[in-house]
Amino acid sequence: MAAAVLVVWGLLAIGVAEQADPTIRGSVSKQAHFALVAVAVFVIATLLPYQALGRYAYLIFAVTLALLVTVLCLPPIRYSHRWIVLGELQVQISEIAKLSYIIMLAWYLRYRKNYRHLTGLAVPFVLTFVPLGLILVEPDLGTSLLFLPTLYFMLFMAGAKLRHLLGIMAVATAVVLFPVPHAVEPGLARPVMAYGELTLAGRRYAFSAVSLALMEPHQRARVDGWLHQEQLKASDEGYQLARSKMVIGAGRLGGYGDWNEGEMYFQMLPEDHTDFIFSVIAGRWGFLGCVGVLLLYCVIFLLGAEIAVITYDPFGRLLAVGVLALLFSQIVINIGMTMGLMPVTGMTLPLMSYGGSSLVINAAALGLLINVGQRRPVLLGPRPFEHRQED
Amino acid sequence: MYNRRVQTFLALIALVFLGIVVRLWGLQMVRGQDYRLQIERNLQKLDILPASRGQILDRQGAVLAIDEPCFEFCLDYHVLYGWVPGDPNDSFATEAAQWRRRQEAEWVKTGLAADLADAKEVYLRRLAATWNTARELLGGSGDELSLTVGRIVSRVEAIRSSMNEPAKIAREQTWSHPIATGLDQATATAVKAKLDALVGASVRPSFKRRYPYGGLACHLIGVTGEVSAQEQDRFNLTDSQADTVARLAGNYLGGDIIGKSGVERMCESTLRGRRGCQRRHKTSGQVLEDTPAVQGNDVPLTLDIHLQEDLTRLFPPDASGCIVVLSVPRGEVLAMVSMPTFDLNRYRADFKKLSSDDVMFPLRHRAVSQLYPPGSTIKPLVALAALGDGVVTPETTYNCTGYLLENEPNRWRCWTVKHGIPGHGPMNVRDGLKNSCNVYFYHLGGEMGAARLAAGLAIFGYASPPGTGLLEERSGTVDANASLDESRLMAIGQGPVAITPLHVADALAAVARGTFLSPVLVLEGGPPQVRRPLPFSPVQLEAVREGIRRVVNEPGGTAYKIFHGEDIEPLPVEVAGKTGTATVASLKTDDGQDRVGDMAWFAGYAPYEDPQVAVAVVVEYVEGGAAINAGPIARETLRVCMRRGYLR
Repeated sequence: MAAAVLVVWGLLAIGVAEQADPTIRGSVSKQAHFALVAVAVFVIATLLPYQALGRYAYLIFAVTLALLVTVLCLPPIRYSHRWIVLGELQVQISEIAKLSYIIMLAWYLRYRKNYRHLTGLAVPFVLTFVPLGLILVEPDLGTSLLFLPTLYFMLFMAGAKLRHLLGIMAVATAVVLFPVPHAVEPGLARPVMAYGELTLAGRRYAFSAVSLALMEPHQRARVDGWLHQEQLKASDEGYQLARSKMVIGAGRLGGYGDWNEGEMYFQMLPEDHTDFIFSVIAGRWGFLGCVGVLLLYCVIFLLGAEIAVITYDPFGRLLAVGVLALLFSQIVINIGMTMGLMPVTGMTLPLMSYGGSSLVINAAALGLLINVGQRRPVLLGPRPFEHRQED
Repeated sequence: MYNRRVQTFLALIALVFLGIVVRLWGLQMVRGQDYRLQIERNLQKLDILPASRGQILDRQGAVLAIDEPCFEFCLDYHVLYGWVPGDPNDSFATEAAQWRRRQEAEWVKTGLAADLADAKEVYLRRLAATWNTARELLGGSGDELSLTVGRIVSRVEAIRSSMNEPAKIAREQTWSHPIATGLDQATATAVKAKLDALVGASVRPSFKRRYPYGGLACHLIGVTGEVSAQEQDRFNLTDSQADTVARLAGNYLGGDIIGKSGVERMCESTLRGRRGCQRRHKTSGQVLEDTPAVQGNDVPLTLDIHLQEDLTRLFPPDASGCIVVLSVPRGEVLAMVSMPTFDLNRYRADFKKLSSDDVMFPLRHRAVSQLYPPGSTIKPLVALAALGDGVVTPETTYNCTGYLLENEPNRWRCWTVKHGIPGHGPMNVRDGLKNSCNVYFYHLGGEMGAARLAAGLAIFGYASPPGTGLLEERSGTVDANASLDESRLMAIGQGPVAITPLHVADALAAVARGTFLSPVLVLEGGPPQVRRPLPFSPVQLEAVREGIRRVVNEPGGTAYKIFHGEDIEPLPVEVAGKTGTATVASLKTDDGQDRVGDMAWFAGYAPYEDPQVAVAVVVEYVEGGAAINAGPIARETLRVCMRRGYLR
């Protein structure tokens, strides 16, 4: 129910954006069609025997990886290798990868407990980094970043030791922040977040964290735009973020009521019907609208958590948790980025943003969640994952 | 344990969502009003309303310079921007793309284009038509268009790159920029009819500076031109000094017209109006705030353009030089002719030719900015200075034998030697002036020395600019540290002394009235007039005035034949004056057309008893001296003054 409301609300918001920008005319009806497909996929996902799905988990995952490799070999669309074109449709493989990844991970983790040791954590991490890496080179930083929090939530729920998880995170952070030199692109006033810089043989080098050094210049520009929100940078990203904050802020309590005004000001926001749909919602329906959206997501999380608790099937539990973790990560990254709490990455707001792949996959994920809730196998013996401390 | 972890998970979600809500509260409830205002600003657009420049009038109210309504063909910066390949990292690229998409979508909506792809075609077609129109208006060749557009784009890009917030769009980028200016009504109507088939084009009313008298008093009236970056830096108020609307109204924006010389430059602040501006809603066009334009004020001059016209005709057509006419009682400039002249209306078109002429220098405002050796016209002033200093009395005599020093008969010679006549004999100040006796003045110069000579000449304003307020004015130069030899030369108006014709006319006017007044050119708003009584006794003044009266009116005076020659119709008034023939080095030019000869002077005033006008005439590079060049022009100048009613 909550999901349906969100989808419809999303349609309304896309409508607002469409009114403002005539070039995306027809988005609402397209998205409505996607929504119908999504409902169908949702129903199918609730009806499938999800255990059977689990048995094919590795196969599905392998196929997904193959698709991810395929998409890299295809000619780029809009400068990145994200889509496979099927007739009129462009399918975003990374969206499929999200779902197949949680199915696979849930299946892999279901009866084990070796991940309670540090060495046992290696396999899940490797399984994560394969799709993550493939998506990263598409390039699609946003989606690839999604895998890590999802992995962490699932491992945590499956009972991996918190200190292991935090330890790995600490080491990773240290690695990620390790300074390495890289050439500064000419014309840049100051390198982004560099520890220091030096000029050697006429070229400027900066010492930055590994992660920044590996980034494309436009990605570094985004990070910079985010770090220096108050003094806008001459980049599209800084511009987008500033406009987004402006539109959100202008929503105030109840939103910008006057449609004509709204029409005009939503025009200022590029990508408003996809990644920045939350800004449109905030602008159109204000603080109350935003809280409403968050509450609806909360309803999904509460129901999802209930399903995760009342299901005794280990695969079902992990699947439910995976779906929730996936949703949660997407929501936080997306909303965070529209408000300047996180750097701008390409990330849709689940169920609300314009985009067929995202909507259908999230519907499928929710379908699986309901599916898990509907099948409660009789359980003998202790509940899974209730490990005793000495394990 | 698992359940606890689920609870932890939910708690984490709740915490993060709470964080989001807090941030939302901050953005929407705390700073919401600011953001809403920002958005509203973004929805608005400031349009500027042009203000016309004031007129320049002569003393009778004849219009010398006027802003006439005309039209200009303008293109939106969105179109101009496409002229150069844009920097993809430029925030205006997004804006320009949106602007284009909006139009294309509009065409689809109104059925002008079948779909967006078709609309793209329409856009490209119209863009081509737009450039064609611009090219035609600029005379057919693409060169002028390239220059104009290139200039605008580089100007606007410079403004934008100087902004502190590079992601913001410069106001200039939201404007339409004039491509072809000065269009007449017929052309404007024709272009307006085509506008629907163009993109980003508009026809706006504008103003064009016109000078009804063409070349008359061209140097004095001056020219206007596009403001330079340095001028903008100098005159524009900064953000901290004035608010947006005030800055928009008063500041010079790129492409604005500013006075570059003459009265146009001197009275810039009076002539220039204040632009108006309208804050409009971007889409509805509703006017939210309206500051009307304030037209510039007129500047009335003391000049009489008809007198100027008559005097310009007096001047030999291929000669160069000046005529300055001042009113003695008030020191007003009645006419100030600098020859050669140029047509103000064709200034821009002829600029290359005018500025490259290094023989005649037609752009030079000789009357106030060319320093000439004054020659013998300096003698009345030197005489007064010497009398005032007590070096001589009116009755002191020096004997002129044709040269100053017995042992150097070839060095300090009187002008008579050249003409084969004997020396002047014993000379007092009156006869020294009448005969323009060099030997008498060598004595004065030698006895006074450079410092006292300089101080004496400073009384007549020779050490400073004349003081009309014209920015072209140059100060006279008098070397106060000159040697004895040089002092002697200075006393006959040669050597290290140089002044402008306006200095000379004003000095003679001072002699006539007994009081120094700086010349006045602008009736209102000019610099305050300097007034100081001359520090000479009536006897001293009378002696010098009598001397220069004799120059003109007694047989043997150096200008007697000019005014009382056989074929000359005598003037009904008595004139006092002084001739001068100053030797100068010849003017070497690249093409071998060297200009050789003397600077021929006449300076004087009339009527003798009740001085009304003072004149100074200089004719450059002529043979035969003042008697046959400058003198007759001065005489006819006085006749014209009489006809025009300035001399009774």
